[in-house]
Amino acid sequence: MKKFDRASSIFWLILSVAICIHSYKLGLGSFHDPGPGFLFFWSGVVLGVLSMVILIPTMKGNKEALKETQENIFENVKWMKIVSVLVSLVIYGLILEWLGFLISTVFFIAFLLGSIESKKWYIIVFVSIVSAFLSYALFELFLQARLPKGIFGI
Amino acid sequence: METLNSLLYGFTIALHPANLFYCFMGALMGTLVGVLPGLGPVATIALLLPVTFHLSPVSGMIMLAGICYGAMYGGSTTSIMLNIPGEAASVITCLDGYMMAKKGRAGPALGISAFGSFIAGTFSIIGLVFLAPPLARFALKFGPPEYFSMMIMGMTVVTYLARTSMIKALMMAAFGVMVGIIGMDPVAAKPRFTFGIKEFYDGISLPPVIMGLFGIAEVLENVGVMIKKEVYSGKITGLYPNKEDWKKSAKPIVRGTLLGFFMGIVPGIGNIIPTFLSYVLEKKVSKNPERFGTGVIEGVASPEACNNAAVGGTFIPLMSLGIPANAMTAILLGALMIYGLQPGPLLIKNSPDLFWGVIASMYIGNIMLLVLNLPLIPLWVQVLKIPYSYLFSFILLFVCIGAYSLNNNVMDIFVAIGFGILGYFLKKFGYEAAPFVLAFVLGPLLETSLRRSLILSDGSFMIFLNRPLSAFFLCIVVFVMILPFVTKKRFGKGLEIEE
Repeated sequence: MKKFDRASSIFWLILSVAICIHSYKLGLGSFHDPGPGFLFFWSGVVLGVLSMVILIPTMKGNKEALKETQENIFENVKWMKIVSVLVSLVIYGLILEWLGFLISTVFFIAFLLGSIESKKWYIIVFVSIVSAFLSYALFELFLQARLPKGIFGI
Repeated sequence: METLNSLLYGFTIALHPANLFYCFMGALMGTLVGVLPGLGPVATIALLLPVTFHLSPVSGMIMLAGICYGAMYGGSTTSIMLNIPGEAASVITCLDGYMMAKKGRAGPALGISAFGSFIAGTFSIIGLVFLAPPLARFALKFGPPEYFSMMIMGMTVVTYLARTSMIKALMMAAFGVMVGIIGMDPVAAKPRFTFGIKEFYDGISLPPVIMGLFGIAEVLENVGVMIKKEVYSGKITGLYPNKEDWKKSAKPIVRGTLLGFFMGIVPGIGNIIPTFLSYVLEKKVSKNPERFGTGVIEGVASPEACNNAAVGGTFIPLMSLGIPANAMTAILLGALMIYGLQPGPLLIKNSPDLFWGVIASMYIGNIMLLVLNLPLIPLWVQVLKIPYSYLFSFILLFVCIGAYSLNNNVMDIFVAIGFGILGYFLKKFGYEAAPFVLAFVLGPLLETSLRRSLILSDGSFMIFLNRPLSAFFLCIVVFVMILPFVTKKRFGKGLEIEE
């Protein structure tokens, strides 16, 4: 876990420095009249200090210690599936108001079941259509949520 | 007498047919989603929260309380039937609950879990009725320094009880505060860290954050990975515990209830630690401690009662002080604010219909869960068998609709996606989301309290030490921070879930 702690603590350290700089520009004000950046700045300082508390011990270890068997937290991670899920979510968000809820949802579920889980085509069609209509019924009809209709008005 | 009148008033609200229906739907949906492996009570509430937005505040809170209880019950079912805990507090139920199921005693395990939860829930609701109003009256004496210190105490205790690194948990709390106060500065009216996105001017909404952190992140972790499910496939019989079961479970239920309730009241403790302690306590007082872990009913009865009682206990600081005790109540606090209510000591006074209506419906919800869910167990077992390859797409769909329906804004979907990615990496690198969520919700309140305190004291931080109650809370903060160095060990550490 050491090298992953090192990576994450470096990330948080950089982030905290950026936050402190930006909040300084926002204005810290004074103690009797805290400015917009006051709490950001001090929270950033806490974050930065704590990230160094994690970072420093990882720097002390020698290279051999880091190379020793460590739990690889990303072992067996199926990155393609994760990226596919994220891409499909982003595309769903982009087409939702354009194509409307029903059509977008059918495509969304179909893509997830087809490309990520490789289900048979008739299952994909059935499940995606049923899911779209059931969720429409729950949110639009029952809960009056006003889902987007899109360019086709459905 | 006044309390009794208020409670009767609450029942008139809770027994309204519409509210009865929402209570039932909340309990049913909470259980339905709560049984899904990988989705604990917090994730369940996060996913179902948007469903309540389109109701009135009272009905919404009634449904949400039902979802809470239903989710807790659903998580227990998964632990017993599947040996997959939905959250840390359910780990203990797996130890003996699943072993009971393997021995063909799934029915009594599920039954005693339901009855124990009902008894504990009833006790904690009674406690809530009698403790919350006087605590709220006492809290009217709190000023900004007391609130600030109490919130810091709550966040510190939550980080102390983190299952992994306390330092990482503190970092999450600091980060959560920062994300929570993104938006227009309330005094200077200056946008802060909005990056030019006008949707962020009013701050980042809670539902997309929690749906991303707990819903999308969970899916990203599990997608493409086969979740090994060993669903107990035998016939479930004997749901109602027999005399011998009751004899063995009665005292554990009482002990678990008292432990859970009184520990749950303390901001920051939550329900995880009391549940673990209840198991340890039962082992210690048992004449045959070596039997624990082999499928003893006491090992299910006490933790389940404790869990439910602790949840009820956590409602007390939420309703009377407006301070959440853990991630679940932090979400409920966020929900109250979304409904347009002002949590705090004046909530009971200004919205008595909400407070008493919710309390009465919690009691009714407990009865519903007991009477209806036990016969529905065969249905839950079928739900458990739904392959994750379908479930994950429904979860993602729910997250997207839930996020969108909040403000009819696609940006909320992207916020959920962003926090889903963040949540995934946080999990991988060993950072817990609970402190982040608590700090995110408390962030704006913390900033307001801090500013007001410093204005009151003309810039002097001594105000936090000069006021006795505030000083007391800060002493607890210092105590909790130095305790790990003194004792060389920490509650919570090592309580990783085996999922």
